[in-house]
Amino acid sequence: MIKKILSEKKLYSLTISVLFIPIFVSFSLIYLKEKKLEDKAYMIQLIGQKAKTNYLLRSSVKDFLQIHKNSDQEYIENTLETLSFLQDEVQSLKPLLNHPAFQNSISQDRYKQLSTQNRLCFTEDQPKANKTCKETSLRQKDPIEVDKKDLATILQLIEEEKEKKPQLIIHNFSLEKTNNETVFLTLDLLKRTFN
Amino acid sequence: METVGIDLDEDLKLACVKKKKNNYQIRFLKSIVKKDLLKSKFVKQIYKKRTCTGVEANDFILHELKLKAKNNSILEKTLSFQIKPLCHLVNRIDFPICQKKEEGKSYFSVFTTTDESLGKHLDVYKKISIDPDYVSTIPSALVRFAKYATNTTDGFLINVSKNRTTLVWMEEGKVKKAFSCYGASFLSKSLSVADLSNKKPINILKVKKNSEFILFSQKVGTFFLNLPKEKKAVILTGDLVHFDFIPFFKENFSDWVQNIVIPENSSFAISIGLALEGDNSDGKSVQFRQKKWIAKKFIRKISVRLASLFLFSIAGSIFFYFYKTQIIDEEDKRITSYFNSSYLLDQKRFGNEGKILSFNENYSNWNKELNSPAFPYLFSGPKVKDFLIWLDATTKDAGVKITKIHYKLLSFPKIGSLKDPYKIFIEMEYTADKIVARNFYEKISEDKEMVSKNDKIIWTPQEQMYKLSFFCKPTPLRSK
Repeated sequence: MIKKILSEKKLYSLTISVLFIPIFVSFSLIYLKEKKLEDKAYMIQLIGQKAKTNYLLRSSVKDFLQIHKNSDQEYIENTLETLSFLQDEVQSLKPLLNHPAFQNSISQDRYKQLSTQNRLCFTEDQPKANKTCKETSLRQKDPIEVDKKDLATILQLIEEEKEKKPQLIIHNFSLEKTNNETVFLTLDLLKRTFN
Repeated sequence: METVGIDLDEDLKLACVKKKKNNYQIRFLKSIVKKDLLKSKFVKQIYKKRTCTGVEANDFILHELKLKAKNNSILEKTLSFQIKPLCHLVNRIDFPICQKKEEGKSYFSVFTTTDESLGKHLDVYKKISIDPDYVSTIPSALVRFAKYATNTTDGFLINVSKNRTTLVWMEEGKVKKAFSCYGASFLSKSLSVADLSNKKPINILKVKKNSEFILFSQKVGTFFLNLPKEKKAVILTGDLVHFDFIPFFKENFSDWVQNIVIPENSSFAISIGLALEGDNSDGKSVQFRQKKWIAKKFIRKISVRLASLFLFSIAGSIFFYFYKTQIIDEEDKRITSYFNSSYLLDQKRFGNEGKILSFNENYSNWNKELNSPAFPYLFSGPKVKDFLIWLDATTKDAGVKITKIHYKLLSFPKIGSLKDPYKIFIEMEYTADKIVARNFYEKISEDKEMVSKNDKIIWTPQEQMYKLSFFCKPTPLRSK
């Protein structure tokens, strides 16, 4: 074979090949190993970042389930539906009830309305359940009139995360301003309890 | 490097030369009689040196070629194409030598021999255990010797040995024409014992002219008669101890002979010339040992060098490979250990007992866990309370009066469709002056906190009242 290639150029090419083939093979193998290591390091970096991002979510889920386990099934009945609103106005109207000048007046009607009718009352749809939770949709029967303070109280009682409280999500909320400093409030809720 | 020229005639003549700076030094001259050849240890002496022999003048053909070419690569291609039709010998070996380049033209001397001639030549030397590195020609050797010994580049070179006589017309330091015929051994027969003991060489014109002598003269005459009649210097070399050829050439070939010179070491002229040819310092030596005729010694040398280079390269590569692999493995251990500890820590945080399996298993398990679908029950929108706080801040000093607000979850995950996203839609009605109303709408459009830019913001001006609707951005999870 060497006889056939013994022209200067071919010999030079053979020398270069002989010298570089083992080097090339060695470098290629090392390159592949390094690439594999690089890929592994990148995978570890990715999963680390994922775990970091995910950590918040997983902690949140863990805390969420901790808070909402063994929740009070009668929370809405015991907490929301017992609320009374516009108490300042009710208190201001109370003395007029027995005053002879305000018999059968608007004020009396107003007092009646505020003290008895202006309350949160929900109707429940058929609940649905799966392995994790039980879901019930609740609709407010009639709009209620509330002021800023009442609204803040209602929202806190619904939206605050508290132990033994079911998850309550407002999925329909409507406010309409009245002529006074009050608003008409209508809301629908989604109640979830967890196993 | 020392080069040895080897001339096998009746006896074996060796000449060893070495180039020192720009001069050649003769290291040794040796003559070994035929009967002592096999006993002699000369082969060992010349083993590591470069060796050169020469084919006789009648065993090769010389052609001259003139080529025009723009560059060397075109010249190379043209040359091989032009050489082919020069002669019709089959199985031949051509060796071109570029003698000069002038005005875009290249002048070549092409030496051609046959495989058969070269094979026979090598077989002769094989019998005495010589495998020469170079095979040139005897005329080329004589030209080299003439230049070395006398500084002559033009003239006739005549070498008379026992078995061969070589005649060369040298022009411009190169072989122009060459001829060989039988040697002067026939003259020895006519020598008496008295003649042999005589130190003075015998004028061959005074030797009895037998048929061999006449034939010899005719052969020599054939060479000269084909040449133009022009007197030139003659350099006479060979076995001239017993015979004086000067009168012979002066008398019979006076039309060509200007003067005759016998330089020093003329009996070793061919071997010295071959040694100079083998040195090839000017790149103009003939070398018939090409391709399939390359000397085994040369192949062995090349093979050994290539093998050494290859082994060195392999050894270096292996060492480097293992060295790097060790570093890579250490780094791999380190990152695997880091991964395992991160994995265990993560599992512990969420109350799981993590086991250290293989990297791939742990990675796959952890990845599955992290890729598990998002917990759909976590509310990811702005709560009503947060929305109202934002609205309060936005409408402050805006000069608008909000009359209606409608917050609606248009889509949310529920049992039966847990993949639905939380999407909050807001509808508002407000009153304000025209410009104030427009400014408020633009403020809402530019909001980056609450308003989703991926969905349309619809603003509908009506009589004294404006309607604005948009979707809310999802709220990112916040750490406690």
